[in-house]
Amino acid sequence: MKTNAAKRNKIDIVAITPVLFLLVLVIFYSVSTNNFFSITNLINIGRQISITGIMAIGVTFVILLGEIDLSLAVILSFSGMIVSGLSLGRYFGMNPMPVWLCIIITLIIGALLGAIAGFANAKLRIPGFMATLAIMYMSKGLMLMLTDAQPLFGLPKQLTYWGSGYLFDSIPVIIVVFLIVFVAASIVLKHTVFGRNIYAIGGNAVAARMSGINVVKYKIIAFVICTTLSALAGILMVGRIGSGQVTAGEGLDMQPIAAAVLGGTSLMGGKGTVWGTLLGVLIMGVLVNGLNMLGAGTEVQSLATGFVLFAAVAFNMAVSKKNA
Amino acid sequence: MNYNDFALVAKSITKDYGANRALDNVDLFLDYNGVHALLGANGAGKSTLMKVLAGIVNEYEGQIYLNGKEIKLTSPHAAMAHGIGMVHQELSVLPNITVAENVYLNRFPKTKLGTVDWNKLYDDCTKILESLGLSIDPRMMLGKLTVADRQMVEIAKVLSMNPRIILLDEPTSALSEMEIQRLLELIRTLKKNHSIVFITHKLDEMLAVSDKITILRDGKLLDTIDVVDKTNPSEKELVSKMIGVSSGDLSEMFPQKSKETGEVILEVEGLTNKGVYEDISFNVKKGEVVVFTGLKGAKRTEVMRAVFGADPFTHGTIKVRGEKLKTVTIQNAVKSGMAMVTEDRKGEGIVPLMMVKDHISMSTISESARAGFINKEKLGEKAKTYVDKLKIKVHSINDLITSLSGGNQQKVVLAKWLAANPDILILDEPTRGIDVGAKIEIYKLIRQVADEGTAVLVVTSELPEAIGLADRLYVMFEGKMIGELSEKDIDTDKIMHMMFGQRIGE
Repeated sequence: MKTNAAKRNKIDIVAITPVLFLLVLVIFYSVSTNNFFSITNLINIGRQISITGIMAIGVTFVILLGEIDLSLAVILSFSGMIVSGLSLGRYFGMNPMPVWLCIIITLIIGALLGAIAGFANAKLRIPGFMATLAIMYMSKGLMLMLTDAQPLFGLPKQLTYWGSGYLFDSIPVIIVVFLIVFVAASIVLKHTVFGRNIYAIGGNAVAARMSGINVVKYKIIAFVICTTLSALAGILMVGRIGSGQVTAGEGLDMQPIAAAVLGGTSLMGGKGTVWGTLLGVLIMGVLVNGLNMLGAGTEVQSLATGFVLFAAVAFNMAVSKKNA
Repeated sequence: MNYNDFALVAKSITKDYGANRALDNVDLFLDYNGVHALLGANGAGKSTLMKVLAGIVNEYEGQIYLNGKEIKLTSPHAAMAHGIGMVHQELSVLPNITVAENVYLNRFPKTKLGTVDWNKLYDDCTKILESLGLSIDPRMMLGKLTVADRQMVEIAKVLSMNPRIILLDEPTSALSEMEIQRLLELIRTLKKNHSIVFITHKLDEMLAVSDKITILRDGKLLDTIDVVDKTNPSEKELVSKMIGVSSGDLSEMFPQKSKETGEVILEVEGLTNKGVYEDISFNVKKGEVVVFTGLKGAKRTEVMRAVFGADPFTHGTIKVRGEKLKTVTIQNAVKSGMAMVTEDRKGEGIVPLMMVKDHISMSTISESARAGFINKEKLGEKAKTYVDKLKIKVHSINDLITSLSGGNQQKVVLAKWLAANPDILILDEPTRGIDVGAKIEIYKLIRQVADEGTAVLVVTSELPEAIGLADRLYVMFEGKMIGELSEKDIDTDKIMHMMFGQRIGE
């Protein structure tokens, strides 16, 4: 009985430590800078983290299976180019399409890329690492063939609205989209059969299969969710930078994965939550934003992020070792 | 007794795995040369004793004396330094490097510059292989060798370390008859100047090469017998000592059998997976407990996995309620009313990070959900029902599965399938590694489920369990169906003979 209670306490430590760390960061920055704890800056942080956040939530599904997706950033760029080009009528001599149709087509292409990766992983038994690396190169190739690496300017307002528009003239649309994705994902993982089966497969795929769970189907769906959310992030990114750029995703390959792991999602699968991922995204976002305010350059920001990631993962390993 | 007279003496060895006592005050006296066989049913403690001697199990009670001096065996490395080498049952060799590298792994000869001296490596290896009468090219990738040759390389590896004592854990289980003879010949040569400890399930092999046989049962030393010749002691005598459960014990442990069974619900015909098992036919009736028994390597698990759709097969049909299953997948098997508790609880039964309640609903989660959304209360209630019904000892249904004892984990895995109300329940070694108390409870449950009309298939290697549970019994041997015994024909002697491959009437 005692050991049980002790175990529960330890699980709490893992859950609470990132929250405490985030609080310490916020308090430290609020005291040491003038503008950190202001509405403007907090909204600014929200805008900065939304894109990484959406991708991180998507990749959480894949990491929960004990797999990884390396195609996130390229799918973001590719989707941005698809949605921009379609809305301007740049490809295959087509006329400009309505923005809503461009968005739907882009999301479907994103979903297809995930379905291919998922099929390769679940059915052909190619490790997710390799399957998504291949998808990454293919997407990059297709994107460059399609666009000649030329940026696309003059996008319709209805398209850039999603990344840079405001609701009621005050709340950035991008943050609202992020929150909707977050709430939906946490409901799916916690309260649906699909979600529970993802944990079962990630925890022990063989046991899940022997329990009659259709492992192949669920794995494919998880990859589809991941890449579709990356495509969504790509559509938002177009709005944030105001143009279609083939380099839009640069530097975002690993950030979402890092955020999920920082939030306590185990790379071995079966363990982690969307809440944790949100915390991970917030910690990384706040850390960088505050350092920016303190006048630190990108070199310091990068170094600090590395340290935090290192410490967090080492801490999680130490605690889970004690529990085992 | 003077310990100097023995190559090795293990005195009062006791080893506990949690609440399970694997070895209980066991003594072993190894002569300077010769073969000493260990005999016992599954779980009797043979392998544990061998692992103690090999330094793999390093926390034990008792003393070990080598040439009369007490030694501590703290690791395989330490055991090797004392001249004790073990040839493992599962081949521990690496397929993608050469034979010579496998033999001298981590002990490569070096040149003056500190690089690997490949010429010497191959020469040394050739010498060792030749001394064993083997013509294997030391430059060959190990993975390209036959299983038998790999086994020989494993022995060469141990011999290259010049051991005085060689431990052989079921070295013949993967070999063909001719290869076995070759290995036995090698053992006869080696025993002239080595002490060999030998575990095998095949009594004829044991009697052919052993000088002494120590019999273990339930972790206790039962007897050590001198082998006079191939027929003395007799196989029958060994078997009765090895099993040694009187009919009195059986009736206490096992619930009353039922005489009433319904129509045939599962019928398997000519099931074949080329090179693994061949032409396996059997059936199970509603309300019946049918036992599959046999030695290790009989391929019973493989057959059950094929029936459940977990592994493919090449020929044969599986009929449920008279209808042939068209595509045999786990999902279709489950849909047709099948359920299977696998042999490997840790690897295939449980998800270590999950709670008890989630385990219980793993196969039937959709029943506690509407439009994909889970009704947590319903799920919790179902978990509680089965925790009570199976008397699973938990603190709460939110306990992690790994905080439970082996017996309780097994009950959770059973509960997962009972929740699905299966018509056909396949249990593969359902009581392996759990204590006697939990075993008795599982026996009761099996009977209860059968009495409610479920057809139960039990795979077990433990003879008392097979006899105590079976309404009907099938015996397999090396991928073949040897025969079927109805309740009134079940008898230890008959089963033993069938387990060793003899058909009734032969």
